[in-house]
Amino acid sequence: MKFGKEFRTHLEDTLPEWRDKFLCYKPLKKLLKYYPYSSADLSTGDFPDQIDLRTVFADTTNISSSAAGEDGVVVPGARPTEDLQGSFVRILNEELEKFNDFYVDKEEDFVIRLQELKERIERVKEKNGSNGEFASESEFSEEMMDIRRDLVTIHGEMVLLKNYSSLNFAGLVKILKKYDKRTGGLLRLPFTQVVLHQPFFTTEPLTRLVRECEANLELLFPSEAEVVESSNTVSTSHQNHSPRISAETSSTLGDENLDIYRSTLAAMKAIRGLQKASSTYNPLSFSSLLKNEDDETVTAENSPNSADLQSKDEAEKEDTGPSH
Amino acid sequence: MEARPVQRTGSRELSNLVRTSSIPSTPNTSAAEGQLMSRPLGQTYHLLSSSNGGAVGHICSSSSSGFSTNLHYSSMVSHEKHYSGSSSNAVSSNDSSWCHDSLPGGFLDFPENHPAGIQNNSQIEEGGITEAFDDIQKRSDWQEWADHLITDEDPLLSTNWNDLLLETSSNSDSKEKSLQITQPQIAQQQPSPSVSVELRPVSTTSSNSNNGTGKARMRWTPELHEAFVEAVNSLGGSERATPKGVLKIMKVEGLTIYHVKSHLQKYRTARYRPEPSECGSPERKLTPLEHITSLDLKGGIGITEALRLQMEVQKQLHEQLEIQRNLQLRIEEQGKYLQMMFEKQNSGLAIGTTSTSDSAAKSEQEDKKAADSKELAAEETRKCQEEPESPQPKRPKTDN
Repeated sequence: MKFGKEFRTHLEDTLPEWRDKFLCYKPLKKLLKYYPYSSADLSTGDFPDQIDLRTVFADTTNISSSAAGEDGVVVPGARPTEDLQGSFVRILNEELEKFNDFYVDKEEDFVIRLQELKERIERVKEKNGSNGEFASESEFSEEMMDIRRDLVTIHGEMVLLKNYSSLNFAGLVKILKKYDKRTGGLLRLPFTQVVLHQPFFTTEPLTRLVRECEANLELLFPSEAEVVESSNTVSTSHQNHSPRISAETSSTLGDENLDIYRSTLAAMKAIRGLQKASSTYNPLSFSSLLKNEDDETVTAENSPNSADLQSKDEAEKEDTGPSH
Repeated sequence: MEARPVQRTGSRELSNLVRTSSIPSTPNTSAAEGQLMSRPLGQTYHLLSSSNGGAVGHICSSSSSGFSTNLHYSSMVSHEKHYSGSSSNAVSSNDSSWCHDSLPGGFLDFPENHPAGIQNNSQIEEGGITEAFDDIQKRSDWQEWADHLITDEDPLLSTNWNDLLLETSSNSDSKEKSLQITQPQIAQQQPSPSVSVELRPVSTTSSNSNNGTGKARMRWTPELHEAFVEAVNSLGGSERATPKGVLKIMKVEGLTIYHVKSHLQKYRTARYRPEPSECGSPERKLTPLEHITSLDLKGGIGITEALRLQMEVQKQLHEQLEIQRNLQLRIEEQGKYLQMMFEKQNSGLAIGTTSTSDSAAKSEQEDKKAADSKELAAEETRKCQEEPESPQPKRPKTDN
C-alpha cells in the first residue's frame, strides 16, 4: 500500500498533462483483488458480488483510450474466454505501449528543442562577438537569461521524464509481484525481462541529453558568479528557499517553471518514499539495499554496517534537497 | 562480483542463434562514419549492467568521449539492448547476467533491423559481434534458464510473448492471436527461435521486416536529428522542405516518410515559436528584467537565483534517479540470478529428494546475493554522495 500511496500522491503533484500517462496501478491492484473471481467469471454475472470491471477502470481514461482501437470500447472483463492472466497481460501490454509512445515522443521533442537551444546560443554568441549587434548589454543578458531559462526548463522536463520511466518501472515490478503472489503465477520475471528492454526504460539517450544540458549550463552560467552576488541567499538553508521560490517564481519565471519545480519536488519525495522500508522485509528492496540512508529505518540489519555507512549518511544529509 | 557463475560454457542455443543470423555478412555501408570500435558497445552496455558508480549515464558519456563523436555512441544506444551481452567483457569484472537476455534477440534482430540513421551500424555490429561470440560461450546457461522461463510449450505460446513485446513490425499480425498464456511450465522447448523472436526490441524500427504501416516506433537520436536538420537546410529551410525530399537526402535505412513527416512537423513547431518571440516583442522581454531589478532591490529572489535553485533541485533529482535506476537494474539482475540458481537446483535434483536442501541452498544464495548487492549499492551511493555537485568529475570529458 505504501507504493500505491506514494504513487498516487506523486500523480497529483506532477505535470498535469502527464498524469494519465502513468501506470494505472490502482486499477490493476483492484483487478487482482477480485481474484480468484476472474474477469471472465465476473462478466458472466454468476457471482452475487460481481464487480463490474467497468467501474474499476472507469476513472482511468488511459486504459480505455489506449485500447480503444481493439474493439471500440474496451472492458477488461469483456472477453469471456480470457482468464485473469490473459486480461492482466493484455492490460500491461497496453500500458507498455502507452509508456513507449509517450516516452519516445517526448524524447524526440527534447532532441529537437535542445538542438534549437544550442543553435540559439551559437547565434547569440556570434551576434555578440562579431559586430556587437546587440544594442545594449541588457539586451544581451536578456537573451542569455531567456536561453538559460529555457535550458533549465528543458532540463527539468527531461529529468521528470526519467522519473516517469523509473516510477512506472517500479510500479510494474510491484504489480507483477502482487500478481505472482496472489495467483501463484510466474509472470513477473519473464515480463520484467520484456520491460527492461522497452524504449521507455532504456533511458540512456535521455541521460546523455541531460548531461549535455548540465554541461551547457555550467559553461554558460558558471555558478561561482552567482554565489558571490547572492551570498546572503546562499547561506540560508534550502528549506527556506522553496517557499520563496514558489511565492516569487511565478512572477519571474512563469507558470511553466513553477509546474516543473513542483513536479520535481514531488518526484524527489516519491523516490525517498520508495527508499523507506516497508512492512514486508525483502533483502532486495530499495530500503534494504540503501539501508542507513534514512535514520528512521534502523533495523537489526542496519546496525552491523552502520559504522562504515555513517559517513555516507552525513554526505547524504548535506545533499538533501528542499523536499526534506 | 555476483554473477560470475553465469560465465559458463555450453552455448548451444546462443551459438545457433548467432549463426543463424546473418550478422557477419552484413556489409559495411558506412565507411564515412569512421572506425567504430566495439568498445563503446561494452561500455554502453555497462549502463545496463551493473555499474561502478551511481550514474550510469556517466559511464556512457565517458565511453563516448573516448571516441571522436557522440555520433556512434548515440546511434549505438538504441542498439545497446541488442548488444547487451556483447561487449560486457570489455568492461566488466562486473556481472552482466542481466544483459544477456537481450543478446540472442539482439543478434537476431540486428541484421534485420536497421535503425534509422545509423549507417555505421554494421561497423558497430561487427565489433560487437566478435566480443559477443566470446560472451555467448560464457553466458549460455543463463540463456538456458531464460529460455525455460520464457518459453512455453509450443509456438503458439511463444507468439504470445511476441505480443508482450508489442512487436509492431512483422509480428504485428500475431497480436490478433489470443493471449492464452497458461501457467508457464518449465520445459525445454525450442528455446532458441522463440527467445530470439521474443526478445526483438521494439524501440528500433525494423526496416525490411516492417509491415509498412509506418507505425514502428522511431527513436530520434541527436545525430539523426542533425542529419535531418542538414537535409532540411539544404532544401531551403523547414518551411520549404518536403518530407519526401528530406527522406531522399538523408538516405537512412529504415526511415519512412511517415517518420520524417511527423518529425518535420515537430521541428517546424519548435522553430516557429521561438522565432516570433525573438524578433518580435522586445518590450515583453523587458518586463521580466524589470521584475528582476525590482525584486533584487527588495532583496527578494531574482530570476538568476530562482533558476539556480531550480537547477539544483533538478540535478539532485537526476542523481537520485540514477541511483534508483541502478538499483532497479541490479535488483532485477539478482532476482534472475536467484531464479536461475533455484531452477538449476530443481533440475539438478530431478530425482526429487531433498526439497529442504533446495530451499536452504536458495536462501543461502539469496542472503549472499543480498549481501553482495548491499555492498555494491552502498558503494554506489557512497560514490554518488561524494560527488554531490555533479557527476562530471567521473567522466574524463564531457560528452559535447
